[in-house]
Amino acid sequence: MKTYYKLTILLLLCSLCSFAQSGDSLLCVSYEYQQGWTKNEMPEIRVLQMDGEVSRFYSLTERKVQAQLDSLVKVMNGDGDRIMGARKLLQQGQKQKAGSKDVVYKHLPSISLMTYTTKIGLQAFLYTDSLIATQWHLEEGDTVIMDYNCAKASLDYRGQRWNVWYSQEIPISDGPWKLSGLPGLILFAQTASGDFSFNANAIYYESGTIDLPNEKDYVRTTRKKVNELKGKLALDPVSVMESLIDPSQYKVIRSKDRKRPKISQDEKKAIPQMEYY
Amino acid sequence: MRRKILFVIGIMANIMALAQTYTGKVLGKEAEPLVGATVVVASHTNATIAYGITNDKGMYKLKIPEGKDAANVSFHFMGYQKKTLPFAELKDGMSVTLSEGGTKLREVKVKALRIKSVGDTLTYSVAGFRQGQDRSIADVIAKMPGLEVKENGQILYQGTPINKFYIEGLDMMGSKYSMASENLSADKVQSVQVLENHQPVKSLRKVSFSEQAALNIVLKDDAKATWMGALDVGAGYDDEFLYDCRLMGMRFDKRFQSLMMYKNNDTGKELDNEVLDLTTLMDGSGTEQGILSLMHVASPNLAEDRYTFNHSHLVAGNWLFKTGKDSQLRLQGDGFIDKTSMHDYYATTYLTLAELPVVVEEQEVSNTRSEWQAEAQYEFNGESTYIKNHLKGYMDFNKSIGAMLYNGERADMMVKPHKRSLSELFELSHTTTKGNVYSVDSHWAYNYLPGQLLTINGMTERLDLGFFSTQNGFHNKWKIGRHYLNNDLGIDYDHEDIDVALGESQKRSNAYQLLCAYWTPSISFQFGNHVLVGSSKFSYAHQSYRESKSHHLWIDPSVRWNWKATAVSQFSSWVDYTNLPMMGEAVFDTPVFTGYRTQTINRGKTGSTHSLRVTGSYHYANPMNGVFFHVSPTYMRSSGNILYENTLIGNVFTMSATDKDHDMQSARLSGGIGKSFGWAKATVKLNASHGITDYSLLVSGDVDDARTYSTSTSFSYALQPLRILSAEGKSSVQLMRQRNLTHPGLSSGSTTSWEHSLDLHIFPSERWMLSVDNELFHSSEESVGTSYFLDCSVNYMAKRWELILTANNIIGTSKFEHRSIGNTVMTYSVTRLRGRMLMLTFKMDL
Repeated sequence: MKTYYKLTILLLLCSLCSFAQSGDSLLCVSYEYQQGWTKNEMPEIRVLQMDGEVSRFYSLTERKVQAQLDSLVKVMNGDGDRIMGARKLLQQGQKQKAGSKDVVYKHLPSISLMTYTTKIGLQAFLYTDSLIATQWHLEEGDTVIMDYNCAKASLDYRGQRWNVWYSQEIPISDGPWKLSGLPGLILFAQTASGDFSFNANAIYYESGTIDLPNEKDYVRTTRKKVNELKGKLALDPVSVMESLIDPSQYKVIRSKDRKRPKISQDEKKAIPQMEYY
Repeated sequence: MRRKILFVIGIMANIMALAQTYTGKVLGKEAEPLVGATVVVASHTNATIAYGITNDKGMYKLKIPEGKDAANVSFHFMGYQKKTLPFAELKDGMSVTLSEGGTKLREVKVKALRIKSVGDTLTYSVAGFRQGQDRSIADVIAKMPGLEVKENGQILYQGTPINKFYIEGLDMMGSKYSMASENLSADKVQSVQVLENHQPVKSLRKVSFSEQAALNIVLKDDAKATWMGALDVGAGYDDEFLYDCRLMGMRFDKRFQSLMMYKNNDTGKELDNEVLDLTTLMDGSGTEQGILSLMHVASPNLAEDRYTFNHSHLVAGNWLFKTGKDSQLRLQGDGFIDKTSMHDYYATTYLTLAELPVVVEEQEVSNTRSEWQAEAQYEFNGESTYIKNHLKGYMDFNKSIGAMLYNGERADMMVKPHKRSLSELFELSHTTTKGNVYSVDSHWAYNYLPGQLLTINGMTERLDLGFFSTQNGFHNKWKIGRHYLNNDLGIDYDHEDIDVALGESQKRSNAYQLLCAYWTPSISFQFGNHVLVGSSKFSYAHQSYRESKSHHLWIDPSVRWNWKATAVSQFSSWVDYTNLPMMGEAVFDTPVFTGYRTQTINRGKTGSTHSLRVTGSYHYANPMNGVFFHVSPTYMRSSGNILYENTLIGNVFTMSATDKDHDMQSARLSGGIGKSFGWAKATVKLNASHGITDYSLLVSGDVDDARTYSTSTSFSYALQPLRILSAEGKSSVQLMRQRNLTHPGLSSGSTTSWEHSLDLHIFPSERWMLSVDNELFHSSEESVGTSYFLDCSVNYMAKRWELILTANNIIGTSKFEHRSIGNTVMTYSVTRLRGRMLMLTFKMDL
């Protein structure tokens, strides 16, 4: 598989990017990501980068938060408590929680597949998944998003119904998260429940190349396992974190003062997932 | 065997009929496969009906669904020129070559998402429009481009009243939504959504088109599923002790909503607007105003708290229970108790009397109002079935008592225009899986209006009105492809009793009846983004009033067209011709005093009026650049209007219906533009309207032709250029002109009235606000003076409470002069105003 990634990188380097102009080789669309139950927080910014072959969907917010943390680590000489305290203050000031660590690479390792990476606790995971192969249901209706004319479509996908607006004026079959397969770029997507939404707020070009994952940094797994872990993480984060720590490298110290917050059965049921299977 | 072959052929034929499949290749200049190219098949209306995306070999596959009119096929790839072919030229297995040279995408960066648009939903961010001085959500809505809040609380989107006011998607307030919009704090609201072309009945969505929009209030998380309360206590002094208090509690859950309130004041704020039925106000249905009314101040264009001397109390409760996934029960009740004293002076010039006599009146009257109403509504709004039952009751014990100086002579005043009413509306509709709709509705209302009026001659008129009305209909819609064939069948009945007795005379009873049966076939076509509805109402009407009976066979044709030209603009227009039977109030020939010195005598004959109306409208709403624009021309012509002969005998002004009819025609052009800027939360709005009305007057036996012109323009703005400063203001002008075309000497001339307001708010720190509000009124009339008002206030705001010290009318302006021109009268009025006032108010969140 490692060879596969190298090959893709090679191919990428060799291929003439179809929309590379004046040095800006990546077409980027940034989306405001919101969860219906936390909509008063500042929306998280997630970015879709496209180079004509592979696309990468990641959280810009997370990258910024990570950069802040890195600089705090430097400034505070690695004093863990002070770093966490300062980070908490920063996040409160910005009404911003940390972003998602999930990254979706479409058309990687092949045109009909995608690669998904995430980090749970200290553990980084990677799995491959197939791209959406079923036809979307084309709905009546039109709108304008960021000056681009859009049409409406919907799809039942792994336990959620997605309603999206896509623009044929941007003839790239891509979109936020795992969504793709329409004759134009998806600029707005929302689950029928209103729990998850992506709303495009900028289109721009940038120079550079897409950072592809190095498989040796990840534990290869399956979508089912990641979704199971995420489901458990929402209910009992401490146990999941503990289960992922290698006891030979780290020692778990439980604080005596802090009690684990109890989550009621109703709350457990109420935590929605973007995909259920 | 033959059967099997036939069966296989049959299956094959079916498959062929269901979908046609095409495959092909998309290639680059050097015949290399283009991977990820999109192939789109569009209909004549440019709607996408099928699409394909090329695989790693550049291959695509298209499945054209049955019954779709494929018009063209286009091939797209980023960085390449788009290629479009007529669909007939598409062949299975065809390769299409694209040439390089597509243009670079427009880079877009949305600076501040004050308004977002997705489909038919516009979302206005409250934080993006709210300025420091705004308290209620209505204050913020008034600053949003495209939206307008009228003085009575009614909300308009692009010039058209909204049809629903939802809070978190639930319709608790019904048509009395200003109670919520005026009292819900903007602090609690995340955003305001406009649902364009909103059809509230789920099963009729995509079936029955609506031109009205709805509003949805999206609350902040901390305002949901929790009891919230507010307590305001205000005390002050002008010439007497003043109070202004409010206690309210509310809760908004997914399954239960409630808003309860008690308010009182004697500072001039009219509270009855908050329980005004705004839907009835719009369509005028279901209410009988009767003949008598309370005395009122000759309405100056001032805020009512400048001239109203009141003692008002309002108690109201609204509850909504979700009884199931699609069903809900809504209960509302309110009571309004008020005592208002009025002191004003007016001079009325009658344009229908050759000598143009002037009557001077000075009133010193006190209105006492006690109004109680309650309603209950059950609604089931399912995917295919809709049921609604709405029951409403009202009663009042209103009266006006006082004295009037009529041309210097004193006359006692007393009027008791009591009213009790009960009405019920039932609606049931079902949409079948094929898209056909069957519905029935039934409405009945009984209004009893026992009234008393003391006339200028010292006699008391007792006037009892009993009106029963019922409308019952059956409707169906048959779906034919994308089009609908509709039938409306109905029967309406009205029975109106009027009993009049003047002084000791015997009561005279009269009854009027109207029976109307109709059939309205109509057809609605939907092609592309066009909706065209043609209908014709065939009706039989039977009117009877004593010996006068008439039968009518009427045809009322109508055509309506709507075109959603682009995602941001739409046109609509309609033409209709209507025959309207005259109702009892325009038929009764017993002399009836409608005011203490005005009397009306009708023909005693049944009759009808006929009108032609042509209307168009264009709407443009672009949240990207924050521009909202609407314009609407209207032409109306009506015939069969009764010509009244006016006489002034002694002190009594009498309007007697003659046998003559007259035609009336009016043309109006109205429109507005609003724009929000990405700087300083700035919003500007410009509204204008111009109208001409042609009508006839009977002046001393001669029929004169007359014309009125009315023009109004207003410009408003709001901005917060600095954190410490915000400003909002409005300037408006109204021009009125009346001309008697036959005898120009009897014309009333013209009048121009100007109004300007500018409110400045300074925020020296987060907790303090200093406000200076200025209002200036002036007119083209030399006899009408200039009025200026200055109000100031200082607010101290803590997290949960606020203290406000207000000084109103600091200059001490004591009277307001105003001149207005109507079709048959011209008035000059002087209204007494409230003096200087000092008030201290404490507001607290509970």
